[in-house]
Amino acid sequence: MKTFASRRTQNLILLTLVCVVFYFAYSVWQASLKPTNFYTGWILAGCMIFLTLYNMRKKFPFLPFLGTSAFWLQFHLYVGLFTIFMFVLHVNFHIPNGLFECILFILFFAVVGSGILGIFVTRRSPRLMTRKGETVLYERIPIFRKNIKDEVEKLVFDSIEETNSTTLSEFYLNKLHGYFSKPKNIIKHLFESHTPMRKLKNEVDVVERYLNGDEKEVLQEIVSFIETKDNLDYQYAHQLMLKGWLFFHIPVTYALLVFSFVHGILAYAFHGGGM
Amino acid sequence: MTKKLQIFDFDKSHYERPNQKWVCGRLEHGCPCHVGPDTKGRCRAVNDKLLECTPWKDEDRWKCARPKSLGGACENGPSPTGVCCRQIPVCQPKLSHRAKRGRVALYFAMTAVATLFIFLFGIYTTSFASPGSLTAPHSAITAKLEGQDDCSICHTAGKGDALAWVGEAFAGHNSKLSESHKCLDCHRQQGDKRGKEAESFALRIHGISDERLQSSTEKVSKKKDSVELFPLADFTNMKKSFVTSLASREVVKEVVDGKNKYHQVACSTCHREHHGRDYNLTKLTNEQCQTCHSIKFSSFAHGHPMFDHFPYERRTRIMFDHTTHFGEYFKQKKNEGMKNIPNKCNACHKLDEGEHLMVVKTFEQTCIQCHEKDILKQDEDIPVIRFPGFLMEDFYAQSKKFRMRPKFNKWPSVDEEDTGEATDFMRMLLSKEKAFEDQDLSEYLETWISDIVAESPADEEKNEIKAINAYVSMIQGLCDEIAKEDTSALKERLEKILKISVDNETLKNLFPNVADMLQVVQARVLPPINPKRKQRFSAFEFEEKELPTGWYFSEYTLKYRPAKHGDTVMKTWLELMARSYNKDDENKEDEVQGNTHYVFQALNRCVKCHSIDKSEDKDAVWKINWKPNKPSNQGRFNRFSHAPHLALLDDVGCVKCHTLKKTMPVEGEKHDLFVKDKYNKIYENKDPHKFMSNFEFMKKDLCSQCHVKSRAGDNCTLCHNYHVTPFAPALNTTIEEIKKKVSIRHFKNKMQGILPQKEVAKK
Repeated sequence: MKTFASRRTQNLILLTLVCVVFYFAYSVWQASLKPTNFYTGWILAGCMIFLTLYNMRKKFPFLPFLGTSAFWLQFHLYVGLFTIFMFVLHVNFHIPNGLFECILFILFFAVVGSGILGIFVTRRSPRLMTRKGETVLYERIPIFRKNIKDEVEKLVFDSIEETNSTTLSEFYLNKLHGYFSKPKNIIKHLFESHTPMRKLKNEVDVVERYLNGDEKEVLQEIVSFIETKDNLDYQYAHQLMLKGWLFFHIPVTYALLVFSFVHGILAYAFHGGGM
Repeated sequence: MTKKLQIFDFDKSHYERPNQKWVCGRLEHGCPCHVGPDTKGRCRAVNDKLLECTPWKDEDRWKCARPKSLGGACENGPSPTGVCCRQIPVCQPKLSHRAKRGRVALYFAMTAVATLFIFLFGIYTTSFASPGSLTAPHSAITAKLEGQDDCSICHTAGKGDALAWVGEAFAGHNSKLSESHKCLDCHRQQGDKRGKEAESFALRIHGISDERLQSSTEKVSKKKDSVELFPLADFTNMKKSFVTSLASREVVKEVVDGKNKYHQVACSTCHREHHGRDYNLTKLTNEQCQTCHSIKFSSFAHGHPMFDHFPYERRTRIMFDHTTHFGEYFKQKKNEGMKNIPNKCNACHKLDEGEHLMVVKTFEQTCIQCHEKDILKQDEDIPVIRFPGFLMEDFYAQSKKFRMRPKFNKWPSVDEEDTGEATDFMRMLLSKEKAFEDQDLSEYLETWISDIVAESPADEEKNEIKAINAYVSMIQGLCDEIAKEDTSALKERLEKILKISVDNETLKNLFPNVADMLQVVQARVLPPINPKRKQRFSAFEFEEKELPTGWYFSEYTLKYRPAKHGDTVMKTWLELMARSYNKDDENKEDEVQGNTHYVFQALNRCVKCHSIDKSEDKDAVWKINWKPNKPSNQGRFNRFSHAPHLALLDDVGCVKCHTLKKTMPVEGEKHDLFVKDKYNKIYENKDPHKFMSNFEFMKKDLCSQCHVKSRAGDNCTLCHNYHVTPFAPALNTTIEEIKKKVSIRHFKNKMQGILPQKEVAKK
């Protein structure tokens, strides 16, 4: 079985070869004074449609003959890279200066940029999430968050009865209630920052000196929940990112397709007979 | 130590369905119901009053059936009637993550469509749809149209709205050549007429006729063996050579009887607009230039065909032998003490106004010092009409004897010594007179006209008296025609003799300002028999030393003396003679027979230096080269600019490139010797391309020393014109025409909008 690295090397070599072939074809078309932009445009349109079909493919997971999603993803990535190359040829290494074409240009690179971000995120986040701690289903995170909060609040209430002290409960109300109620430190988790956790633990260390022995045991229990919530927020942040980039990538793709279609119409209507 | 949160045991974990469109509204609070909303996003607990479980009956007791994944059996358990006590709370279902994404995608697509709709059918349509700014000159057109930014100026599709563009996009491609005709509204190839596309070569390949293109292709194809596409010496250019070898474009449309019909080429094939203000519309790569060519090569330095007789394609128009002038004449003149003897090329040559090409300076700046006297030749004035003398007393006496009345009253009565032969002009101008058709007279007339002097009527022959009458009448008639303001008779005479059409401008210049003199000569000078009148006649004769320039009358002869170099009368007569030179004997150039030949010889002082070529015009036999070559980069495949090369010349000057052929043989070596006799001989042949140059032909290596990519550049378009016939610059009038067109179109559009409204109002 091929390793990921060898497979990537092989695919990149293949992609490079395809690009070289197309670059030569492009050079020959250019030299032949052929309507090169129309040729590259059609190739580009084909690539974009193929790339969009990957999203369609995911809507039909029950059709095995379409191939695995992983297989499609591989194609999606490398065809995507080829599309960037083709686009550069299509615009003839120039930045367009018409309003419509500038929008098209921006849309294309918005899709490309979000796609590259997507590759980065999908390569990085799963690895980090696994390394960090327990991985959880994204849809269950609110439930787990509530469970943790309930557990912590139960501990706090019980400690009031058992120790007749409100120090811990006040600490919970002031410092921890907000923390357990909703996702926290999402951006910082994405950048692997430990500062929020360290600050919170400092707060815990500060309050610990005012607690008696029973309360300290409860506090240790709460600290373990704090760490659990921290991991949950970490998972949430990365999974949100894993899903969130598609909120940009896919919608912009459809806008790009609409603009590309009109671009094709305009190109054929106004091509000036150079065909 | 973190807590474990997720358990996937079958009874502790329910099944997640992230692809469902709706999720329970309480999910975000961490307590979703286990049934979830229906497919339309409605909470199922609202109408169905769903409960958390359906209790089951164990013998006579109802027991809670809540699954373990939801917390197992509840504390309170079902009611005694077996109803679950925990009703699922109502919520406002929310879109799942995936459905939200789908909706955002839909909104984006709709926004894109709406944006396009607004701009394509509403505001700023042309600015929005424009693929980029035009080059500066083309932008200026729209600027001059005072904001009427209209795509239809250049695009046929521009006249419609966005919906029409869709139709245009799917229209046939052949119709798109009409876009190029719009380019020709402003950019006409020189010589083309506005609005006559059918007569234009502008869209033909190289802007030339199919015949010329085919012959040029065949000419170049002969050099196929001397070109190289993959020379080892040009290894670095291998990639481009590879591309060049693969690039091809079909140019021949069809072949009919061995003649190629070529495709037309749209302007936008090479000139791509909308790439910014400073975009170079004429930029073409070497590979692009060669795509249509049958022979391809690597670069100018490597593989380009060798120069063939470059740059001298024909003999010089002015017969100027550089070798003998520099080697012999100038030295001789210098020894004679003449000053300002030319010693460098720039004594006679200079850059033209465009500073591209070298031209010859004027006669007055160059040759006049030595050659003025050859032109004026004051002792060799040109006799045009001679009034031949007869012994009029004898003539009248014999006329009386034969009871014949003379047809003229006055005529010079001269002694036999003064009888004059007919001039060359008379021989020609009188050659088609009707009197020659009379067999009785023709013998006398042809004798007088052709070669010998007119004689007095010595013999007592009646026919001779008749012939004298006819001859004198012919001459008087000719003088009348010349003297008349109405030149129609003279025109008829010349066209009959020369078999060519003669325009009024030419007629005007043949005998300018001679009418008065002829009238006087006819009315007063030609004396009656009375010798006393001779005194009056002599009043019109001049002493040799005081002869005026132009027309004058001397010795019974109308003569012409050229005033200066470039004399109009001389030029006009020579031009006329050259056009019609012995037209009856076109194939007998070597023979000197023919009327025009004599006149030509009478004026031959001009053609000593002005060479004569066989005319390419079907209506003319010869063409006299009145002016030296005025080199031009137009109408040719090649172009050259001297100005940037002048700085490269060292002490030897122009000779660095234009090497003069050696005049003297070097012992033991064989040379293509250039000698004076040979030089003059090449002009005897009227084909200007069969020649021998004073200079060595230039080699490609001379140019390729500098013209490589890294130095002076080796782009094809540096030395070659694609548009052999250049395009005339767009004139201001064109802007007015465009304005007019646009105004008319806008007016029509407005009217189309107004008329239906009026009809509605009438109804």
